[in-house]
Amino acid sequence: MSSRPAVRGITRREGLLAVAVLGPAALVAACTTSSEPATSSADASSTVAGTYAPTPDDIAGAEAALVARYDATLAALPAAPPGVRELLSAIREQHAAHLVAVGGTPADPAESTAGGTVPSTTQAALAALMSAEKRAARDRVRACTTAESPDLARTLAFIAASEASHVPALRQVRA
Amino acid sequence: MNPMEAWSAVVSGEDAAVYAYSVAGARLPSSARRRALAGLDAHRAARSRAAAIVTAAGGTPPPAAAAYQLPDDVDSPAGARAVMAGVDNALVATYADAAAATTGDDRRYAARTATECAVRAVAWGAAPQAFPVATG
Repeated sequence: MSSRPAVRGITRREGLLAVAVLGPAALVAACTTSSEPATSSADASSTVAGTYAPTPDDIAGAEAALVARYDATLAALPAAPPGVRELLSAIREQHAAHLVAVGGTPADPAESTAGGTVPSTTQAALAALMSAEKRAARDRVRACTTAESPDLARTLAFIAASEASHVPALRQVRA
Repeated sequence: MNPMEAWSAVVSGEDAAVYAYSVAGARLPSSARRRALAGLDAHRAARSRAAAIVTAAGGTPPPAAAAYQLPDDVDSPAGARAVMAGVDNALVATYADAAAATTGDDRRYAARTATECAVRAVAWGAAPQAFPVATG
């Protein structure tokens, strides 16, 4: 699949094409400009009790935990099929990109020890990652809904979509 | 982008998706075709909801194109899958813009629908991406 608009309207429908022909770099650039300053914690904590309104720092922490979790899974399953390991590495990099997009700084791999316990079989480990991705996508949708800035809302909608899409990808290699 | 522009873009993107799913879905064997029909229903419903948001904001939803140009290889099952993955991935950005342009329930709906589009794109065979865009 090379770069090419998804579908081209034959009549005057250039509006939808603007989206289809945008390159990945342009979008990532658009997303990374949206990171919020890390000083908004105090403001967010003053929201109504019970409202889920994480700060960009909170989300960066959750993304760092996902990166660590994929690192731990890769370390625990050295004999997993190459296709599985390739996918896990690719998804790990995507969480690292999410982390940067919300203003976080990638951790030194030597410091990331918080990957948690990894199930001992590839099947069970993939199932656990699918659950984690579903939870992450749900959390990002909620965070998007309460985001203060439109740019952060856009970034979180992209991240939610990415994380939700990891579920079918993991399911495909599990089959 | 104001809310009306953002949701009008969603209407146009959903029109393209409905067309693509209608044409491409018919090229697939039965079990995949059923999945394409479910996606077609989802895109029709999403088109209606986006049009309702535009109307509620005092605007007029943009009309659908008479036809859309699809890649030549849409006739093969692999090509048909790629077309559907492409329109779904393209819609992720459209819904992300709609999320940015609105608040509250409409924003939650935009974000949730962005996730559904990205899930379908990968289910059709696209590789997952950190920031989903149409790749072909």
